[in-house]
Amino acid sequence: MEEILRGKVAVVTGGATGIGYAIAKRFASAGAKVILASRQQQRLETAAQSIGEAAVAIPTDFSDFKQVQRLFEGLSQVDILVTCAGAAIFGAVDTVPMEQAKSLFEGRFFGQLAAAHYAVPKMPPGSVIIFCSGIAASVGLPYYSAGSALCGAVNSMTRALAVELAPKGIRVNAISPGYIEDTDIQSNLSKEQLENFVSSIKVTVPLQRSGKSNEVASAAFFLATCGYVTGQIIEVDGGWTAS
Amino acid sequence: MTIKLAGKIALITGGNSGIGLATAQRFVESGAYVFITGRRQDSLDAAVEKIGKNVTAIRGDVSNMTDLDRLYATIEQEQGHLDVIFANAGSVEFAPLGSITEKHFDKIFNTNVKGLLFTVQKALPLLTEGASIILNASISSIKGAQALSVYSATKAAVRSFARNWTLDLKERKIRVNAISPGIVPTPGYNLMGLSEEQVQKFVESQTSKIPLERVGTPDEIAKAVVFLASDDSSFVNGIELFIDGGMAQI
Repeated sequence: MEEILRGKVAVVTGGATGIGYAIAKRFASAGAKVILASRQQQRLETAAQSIGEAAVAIPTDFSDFKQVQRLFEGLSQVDILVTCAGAAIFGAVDTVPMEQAKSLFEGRFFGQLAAAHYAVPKMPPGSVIIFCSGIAASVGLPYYSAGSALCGAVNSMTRALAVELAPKGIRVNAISPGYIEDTDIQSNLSKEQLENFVSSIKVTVPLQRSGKSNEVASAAFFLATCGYVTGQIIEVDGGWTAS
Repeated sequence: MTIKLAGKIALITGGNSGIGLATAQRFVESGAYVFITGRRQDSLDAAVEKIGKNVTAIRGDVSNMTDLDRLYATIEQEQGHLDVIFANAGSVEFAPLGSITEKHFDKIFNTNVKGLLFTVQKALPLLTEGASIILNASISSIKGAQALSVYSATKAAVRSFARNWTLDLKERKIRVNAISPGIVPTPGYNLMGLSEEQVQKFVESQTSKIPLERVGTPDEIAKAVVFLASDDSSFVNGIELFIDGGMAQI
């Protein structure tokens, strides 16, 4: 692997598991120093150790703005920001607990906005922000109203910030994953509900399979390294949204 | 340079100049063997010299069915199969509504829609399972521009092909994606029926509309095509990838 990210500092939220971990590993293998930030301290440290010397774990709860501020205040420079910290709440609109729906938005939407808010002053020209939304932004996914809305919110934020931050030389893009099998996203679905969901995907998705975290990481790597792409929402979904 | 396309056989239509040529160079550097097409032999010869190795040039016009048949007969004979197609050849001309001639319409649609469609369809017998097809659309697929309606309509058609063909080819696990470059000055810009000065003026007028405040380079587009051609994009299918400095977002 060519070390084209040598000397770059990448902050990856949700970097302990799944997509965030795969991205952190990919960036580290290209020479970047990666800062893994998520809530679970133990898992975060295990993840950093397995990536090696290039990785540092800084436990951070992204729904707590003070913690987000502290994370970025401690860094002198951020070249790449990837925000993958996530959770999911499923439920019919008349039964989904409102407080849970609200806290989902706070963690996953405002967490990503807060990360950008505190990271941007540390980002030199040539930096890049990669948000994480999801294809629920553009397909009607039943029993996922709050989650779908936040994915749409992230996409809109991506477009706005791409234009706003371009004069500073900061690119802003989003990855919009379809169903990725090896994540550790906390959701309230039962095992049976999840299995039904996965088997329905094999019918809907042109590639007839679910995706893997490292396939999302490759897309993130492309966005981090292609200097003329900004405002792009790249679906990594096997063709789900195209069909 | 990493060898992301090691051992792959690729076809790039319009590979003799601009984005096509830059992509051919990146493909070969990434380990692929590349067939390029173009209408002018002198420019194909120059491209082959520039690419240096692992390249075969075949003269032909994508809107000409006989040329396409001859192209695929040659590829079949020389390599037997194809792993990647970059359907890149395209034409552009300005004509405002009111002045659109049948000749203008036929020329642009024949190359950009008919030519691209049959470039892909006639390649199907040669494509391997899991092959990657990349269609060159344009931000014109979603943006309006004065006197460019016919061209823009062809590019919306191209984007639509990518969406639909993912389904037609799903049993063969062939991925189809579109790229949409923004303003990327290439020799093709001089073929729009404009003088050099007019091209320069057009490019300058567009730059103020690009968030990154600069035009793109053919090599930046080529990097995106390498991504979509390689296993790095193994779960990316049916998308339109904008490489436009943010122009499509405003």
